[in-house]
Amino acid sequence: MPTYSKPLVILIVEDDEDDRELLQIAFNEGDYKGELFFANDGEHAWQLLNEGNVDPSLLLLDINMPRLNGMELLEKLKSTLQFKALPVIMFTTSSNEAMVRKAYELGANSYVVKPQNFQRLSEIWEQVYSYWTQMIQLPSRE
Amino acid sequence: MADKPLLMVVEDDAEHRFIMNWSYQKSTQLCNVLFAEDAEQALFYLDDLPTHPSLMLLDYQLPGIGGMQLLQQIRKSDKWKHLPVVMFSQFHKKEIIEEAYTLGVNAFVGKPENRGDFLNIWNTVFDFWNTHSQLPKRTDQTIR
Repeated sequence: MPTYSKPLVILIVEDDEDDRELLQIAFNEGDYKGELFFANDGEHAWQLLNEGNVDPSLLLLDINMPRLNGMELLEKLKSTLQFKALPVIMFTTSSNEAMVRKAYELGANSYVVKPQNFQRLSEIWEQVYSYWTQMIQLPSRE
Repeated sequence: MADKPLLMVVEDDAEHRFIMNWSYQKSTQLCNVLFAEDAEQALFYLDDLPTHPSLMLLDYQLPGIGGMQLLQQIRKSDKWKHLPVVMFSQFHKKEIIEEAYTLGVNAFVGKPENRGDFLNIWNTVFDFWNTHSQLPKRTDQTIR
Protein backbone atom coordinates (compact mmCIF):
# COMPACT_ATOMS: atom_id res chain seq x y z
CA MET A 1 0.00 0.00 0.00
CA PRO A 2 1.29 3.48 -0.81
CA THR A 3 2.06 5.77 2.09
CA TYR A 4 1.95 9.53 1.89
CA SER A 5 3.89 11.99 3.98
CA LYS A 6 1.22 14.66 3.58
CA PRO A 7 -2.56 14.33 3.86
CA LEU A 8 -4.27 13.53 0.61
CA VAL A 9 -5.70 16.61 -1.09
CA ILE A 10 -8.16 16.29 -3.95
CA LEU A 11 -9.14 19.27 -6.07
CA ILE A 12 -12.55 18.87 -7.72
CA VAL A 13 -13.23 21.16 -10.66
CA GLU A 14 -16.98 21.25 -11.13
CA ASP A 15 -19.25 24.10 -12.18
CA ASP A 16 -22.50 22.52 -10.98
CA GLU A 17 -23.19 23.54 -7.41
CA ASP A 18 -25.41 20.51 -6.71
CA ASP A 19 -22.72 18.12 -7.95
CA ARG A 20 -20.12 19.81 -5.74
CA GLU A 21 -22.41 19.46 -2.74
CA LEU A 22 -23.21 15.80 -3.49
CA LEU A 23 -19.52 14.94 -3.87
CA GLN A 24 -18.79 16.60 -0.52
CA ILE A 25 -21.64 14.63 1.11
CA ALA A 26 -20.41 11.36 -0.42
CA PHE A 27 -16.92 12.15 0.84
CA ASN A 28 -18.13 12.96 4.36
CA GLU A 29 -20.36 9.88 4.55
CA GLY A 30 -17.56 7.57 3.47
CA ASP A 31 -15.20 8.66 6.26
CA TYR A 32 -12.41 9.13 3.74
CA LYS A 33 -9.04 10.48 4.74
CA GLY A 34 -7.85 13.72 3.25
CA GLU A 35 -9.25 17.05 2.19
CA LEU A 36 -11.46 18.15 -0.67
CA PHE A 37 -11.07 21.50 -2.38
CA PHE A 38 -13.43 22.80 -5.03
CA ALA A 39 -13.04 25.07 -8.02
CA ASN A 40 -16.08 26.40 -9.88
CA ASP A 41 -14.54 26.08 -13.34
CA GLY A 42 -11.24 25.61 -15.15
CA GLU A 43 -10.21 29.23 -14.78
CA HIS A 44 -10.84 29.15 -11.03
CA ALA A 45 -8.80 25.91 -10.72
CA TRP A 46 -5.95 27.39 -12.75
CA GLN A 47 -5.89 30.42 -10.44
CA LEU A 48 -5.94 28.30 -7.28
CA LEU A 49 -3.10 26.13 -8.56
CA ASN A 50 -0.93 28.97 -9.83
CA GLU A 51 -1.38 31.07 -6.72
CA GLY A 52 -0.44 28.08 -4.58
CA ASN A 53 -3.74 28.13 -2.71
CA VAL A 54 -4.11 24.40 -3.14
CA ASP A 55 -1.47 21.71 -3.69
CA PRO A 56 -3.47 18.65 -4.72
CA SER A 57 -2.38 15.02 -5.03
CA LEU A 58 -5.18 14.38 -7.48
CA LEU A 59 -7.55 16.41 -9.61
CA LEU A 60 -11.10 15.45 -10.58
CA LEU A 61 -12.10 17.41 -13.65
CA ASP A 62 -15.48 18.01 -15.24
CA ILE A 63 -15.43 18.79 -18.96
CA ASN A 64 -18.38 21.05 -19.76
CA MET A 65 -17.69 24.25 -17.85
CA PRO A 66 -17.81 27.99 -18.59
CA ARG A 67 -14.72 30.19 -19.04
CA LEU A 68 -12.06 27.45 -19.23
CA ASN A 69 -13.51 23.99 -19.90
CA GLY A 70 -12.05 20.70 -18.69
CA MET A 71 -10.23 19.83 -21.91
CA GLU A 72 -8.66 23.30 -22.05
CA LEU A 73 -7.52 23.09 -18.43
CA LEU A 74 -6.18 19.56 -19.00
CA GLU A 75 -4.13 20.77 -21.96
CA LYS A 76 -2.73 23.67 -19.96
CA LEU A 77 -1.83 21.45 -17.00
CA LYS A 78 -0.13 18.77 -19.09
CA SER A 79 1.90 21.33 -21.01
CA THR A 80 3.11 23.09 -17.86
CA LEU A 81 6.14 21.49 -16.22
CA GLN A 82 4.95 22.39 -12.73
CA PHE A 83 1.67 20.51 -13.12
CA LYS A 84 2.54 17.88 -15.71
CA ALA A 85 2.85 15.08 -13.16
CA LEU A 86 -0.42 15.89 -11.39
CA PRO A 87 -2.84 12.99 -11.99
CA VAL A 88 -6.05 14.20 -13.62
CA ILE A 89 -9.20 12.10 -13.63
CA MET A 90 -11.83 13.31 -16.07
CA PHE A 91 -15.21 13.13 -14.30
CA THR A 92 -18.00 13.94 -16.67
CA THR A 93 -21.44 12.85 -17.83
CA SER A 94 -20.21 12.39 -21.41
CA SER A 95 -19.05 8.96 -22.56
CA ASN A 96 -18.57 10.09 -26.14
CA GLU A 97 -15.82 7.92 -27.69
CA ALA A 98 -14.09 10.80 -29.44
CA MET A 99 -14.06 12.74 -26.17
CA VAL A 100 -12.57 9.79 -24.27
CA ARG A 101 -9.81 9.37 -26.84
CA LYS A 102 -9.10 13.11 -26.95
CA ALA A 103 -8.83 13.26 -23.16
CA TYR A 104 -6.26 10.45 -23.11
CA GLU A 105 -4.35 12.08 -25.98
CA LEU A 106 -4.15 15.29 -23.96
CA GLY A 107 -2.79 13.37 -20.97
CA ALA A 108 -5.79 12.51 -18.79
CA ASN A 109 -4.85 9.80 -16.32
CA SER A 110 -8.27 8.20 -16.37
CA TYR A 111 -11.78 8.93 -17.53
CA VAL A 112 -14.75 8.22 -15.31
CA VAL A 113 -18.36 8.78 -16.28
CA LYS A 114 -20.29 10.73 -13.68
CA PRO A 115 -23.47 8.90 -12.68
CA GLN A 116 -26.84 10.61 -12.44
CA ASN A 117 -27.99 9.40 -9.04
CA PHE A 118 -26.47 9.79 -5.59
CA GLN A 119 -26.26 6.09 -4.71
CA ARG A 120 -24.24 5.38 -7.82
CA LEU A 121 -22.18 8.54 -7.28
CA SER A 122 -21.20 7.29 -3.81
CA GLU A 123 -20.23 3.91 -5.24
CA ILE A 124 -18.16 5.42 -8.03
CA TRP A 125 -16.56 7.84 -5.61
CA GLU A 126 -15.56 4.94 -3.36
CA GLN A 127 -14.03 3.07 -6.30
CA VAL A 128 -12.15 6.11 -7.58
CA TYR A 129 -10.94 7.07 -4.12
CA SER A 130 -9.80 3.60 -3.08
CA TYR A 131 -8.12 2.86 -6.40
CA TRP A 132 -6.20 6.12 -6.61
CA THR A 133 -5.28 6.38 -2.94
CA GLN A 134 -4.75 2.78 -1.90
CA MET A 135 -3.55 1.01 -5.02
CA ILE A 136 -1.76 3.69 -6.98
CA GLN A 137 1.50 5.43 -6.14
CA LEU A 138 0.85 9.12 -6.62
CA PRO A 139 3.59 11.68 -7.24
CA SER A 140 5.07 13.28 -4.14
CA ARG A 141 3.74 16.73 -3.20
CA GLU A 142 7.01 17.75 -1.51
CA MET B 1 -14.43 -12.70 -26.32
CA ALA B 2 -13.79 -10.31 -29.19
CA ASP B 3 -15.65 -7.48 -27.45
CA LYS B 4 -13.47 -7.56 -24.38
CA PRO B 5 -10.75 -4.93 -24.27
CA LEU B 6 -7.26 -6.20 -24.90
CA LEU B 7 -4.66 -5.64 -22.23
CA MET B 8 -1.00 -5.81 -23.19
CA VAL B 9 1.37 -6.76 -20.38
CA VAL B 10 5.05 -5.97 -20.96
CA GLU B 11 7.08 -8.03 -18.49
CA ASP B 12 10.47 -9.65 -19.05
CA ASP B 13 10.51 -11.82 -15.93
CA ALA B 14 9.14 -15.28 -16.82
CA GLU B 15 8.18 -16.02 -13.20
CA HIS B 16 6.23 -12.78 -12.96
CA ARG B 17 4.51 -13.46 -16.29
CA PHE B 18 3.55 -16.90 -14.98
CA ILE B 19 2.12 -15.46 -11.76
CA MET B 20 0.30 -12.72 -13.65
CA ASN B 21 -1.21 -15.23 -16.04
CA TRP B 22 -2.20 -17.41 -13.08
CA SER B 23 -3.76 -14.39 -11.38
CA TYR B 24 -5.56 -13.52 -14.59
CA GLN B 25 -6.97 -17.05 -14.89
CA LYS B 26 -8.33 -16.76 -11.35
CA SER B 27 -9.68 -13.24 -11.91
CA THR B 28 -13.01 -12.18 -13.36
CA GLN B 29 -11.30 -12.02 -16.78
CA LEU B 30 -12.93 -8.81 -17.93
CA CYS B 31 -10.29 -8.38 -20.60
CA ASN B 32 -8.19 -10.45 -22.96
CA VAL B 33 -4.47 -10.47 -22.26
CA LEU B 34 -1.42 -10.42 -24.48
CA PHE B 35 2.04 -10.77 -22.98
CA ALA B 36 5.13 -9.14 -24.47
CA GLU B 37 8.49 -10.23 -23.10
CA ASP B 38 10.24 -6.92 -23.68
CA ALA B 39 9.76 -3.48 -25.19
CA GLU B 40 10.89 -4.58 -28.65
CA GLN B 41 8.22 -7.25 -28.76
CA ALA B 42 5.64 -4.76 -27.46
CA LEU B 43 6.55 -2.32 -30.26
CA PHE B 44 6.30 -5.13 -32.80
CA TYR B 45 2.81 -5.99 -31.53
CA LEU B 46 1.75 -2.32 -31.55
CA ASP B 47 3.00 -1.86 -35.11
CA ASP B 48 1.92 -5.11 -36.69
CA LEU B 49 -0.94 -6.79 -34.86
CA PRO B 50 -4.42 -6.22 -36.29
CA THR B 51 -5.85 -6.35 -32.76
CA HIS B 52 -4.93 -3.30 -30.74
CA PRO B 53 -4.69 -2.98 -26.96
CA SER B 54 -6.90 -0.65 -24.93
CA LEU B 55 -4.56 -0.65 -21.95
CA MET B 56 -0.90 -1.45 -21.30
CA LEU B 57 0.60 -2.73 -18.08
CA LEU B 58 4.29 -1.91 -18.31
CA ASP B 59 7.16 -3.07 -16.16
CA TYR B 60 9.58 -0.28 -15.24
CA GLN B 61 12.68 -2.42 -15.44
CA LEU B 62 13.15 -4.11 -18.80
CA PRO B 63 16.29 -5.20 -20.66
CA GLY B 64 17.21 -3.16 -23.73
CA ILE B 65 14.58 -0.48 -24.17
CA GLY B 66 13.44 0.25 -20.60
CA GLY B 67 9.90 0.91 -19.42
CA MET B 68 10.40 4.70 -19.34
CA GLN B 69 11.83 4.69 -22.87
CA LEU B 70 8.92 2.65 -24.18
CA LEU B 71 6.51 5.01 -22.43
CA GLN B 72 8.20 7.98 -24.13
CA GLN B 73 7.96 6.30 -27.54
CA ILE B 74 4.27 5.63 -27.01
CA ARG B 75 3.57 9.23 -25.96
CA LYS B 76 5.38 10.55 -29.05
CA SER B 77 3.44 8.28 -31.39
CA ASP B 78 0.41 9.78 -33.10
CA LYS B 79 -1.02 6.28 -33.35
CA TRP B 80 -0.56 5.36 -29.68
CA LYS B 81 -0.31 8.50 -27.57
CA HIS B 82 -3.86 7.94 -26.29
CA LEU B 83 -3.07 4.43 -24.96
CA PRO B 84 -3.44 4.32 -21.16
CA VAL B 85 -0.26 2.93 -19.59
CA VAL B 86 -0.12 1.62 -16.03
CA MET B 87 3.50 1.22 -14.96
CA PHE B 88 4.43 -1.22 -12.25
CA SER B 89 7.68 -1.50 -10.41
CA GLN B 90 9.26 -2.90 -7.31
CA PHE B 91 11.06 0.43 -6.95
CA HIS B 92 9.01 2.96 -5.02
CA LYS B 93 11.47 5.85 -5.18
CA LYS B 94 9.62 9.13 -5.43
CA GLU B 95 11.96 10.33 -8.21
CA ILE B 96 10.96 7.36 -10.39
CA ILE B 97 7.27 7.89 -9.68
CA GLU B 98 7.54 11.62 -10.43
CA GLU B 99 9.41 10.95 -13.68
CA ALA B 100 6.85 8.38 -14.79
CA TYR B 101 3.94 10.80 -14.29
CA THR B 102 5.86 13.62 -15.97
CA LEU B 103 6.48 11.39 -18.99
CA GLY B 104 2.79 10.60 -19.20
CA VAL B 105 2.10 7.38 -17.34
CA ASN B 106 -1.56 7.04 -16.40
CA ALA B 107 -0.94 5.32 -13.09
CA PHE B 108 1.98 3.85 -11.16
CA VAL B 109 1.53 0.64 -9.17
CA GLY B 110 3.99 -0.99 -6.79
CA LYS B 111 4.88 -4.49 -7.96
CA PRO B 112 3.47 -7.06 -5.53
CA GLU B 113 5.73 -9.44 -3.71
CA ASN B 114 3.50 -12.49 -3.36
CA ARG B 115 0.78 -14.30 -5.28
CA GLY B 116 -2.04 -13.08 -3.05
CA ASP B 117 -1.05 -9.47 -3.66
CA PHE B 118 -0.71 -10.13 -7.38
CA LEU B 119 -4.26 -11.46 -7.49
CA ASN B 120 -5.52 -8.53 -5.45
CA ILE B 121 -3.81 -5.99 -7.67
CA TRP B 122 -4.89 -7.78 -10.82
CA ASN B 123 -8.53 -7.75 -9.77
CA THR B 124 -8.47 -4.19 -8.47
CA VAL B 125 -6.56 -2.67 -11.37
CA PHE B 126 -8.66 -4.37 -14.02
CA ASP B 127 -11.88 -3.87 -12.20
CA PHE B 128 -11.15 -0.14 -12.12
CA TRP B 129 -10.04 0.15 -15.73
CA ASN B 130 -12.72 -2.11 -17.14
CA THR B 131 -15.67 -1.18 -15.00
CA HIS B 132 -15.23 2.35 -13.72
CA SER B 133 -12.87 4.05 -16.14
CA GLN B 134 -13.68 4.52 -19.80
CA LEU B 135 -10.96 3.13 -22.05
CA PRO B 136 -10.31 4.41 -25.55
CA LYS B 137 -12.14 2.33 -28.11
CA ARG B 138 -9.97 -0.28 -29.77
CA THR B 139 -8.72 1.02 -33.08
CA ASP B 140 -9.41 -2.24 -34.88
CA GLN B 141 -13.07 -1.94 -33.84
CA THR B 142 -13.19 1.66 -35.00
CA ILE B 143 -11.85 0.78 -38.42
CA ARG B 144 -14.23 -2.09 -38.95
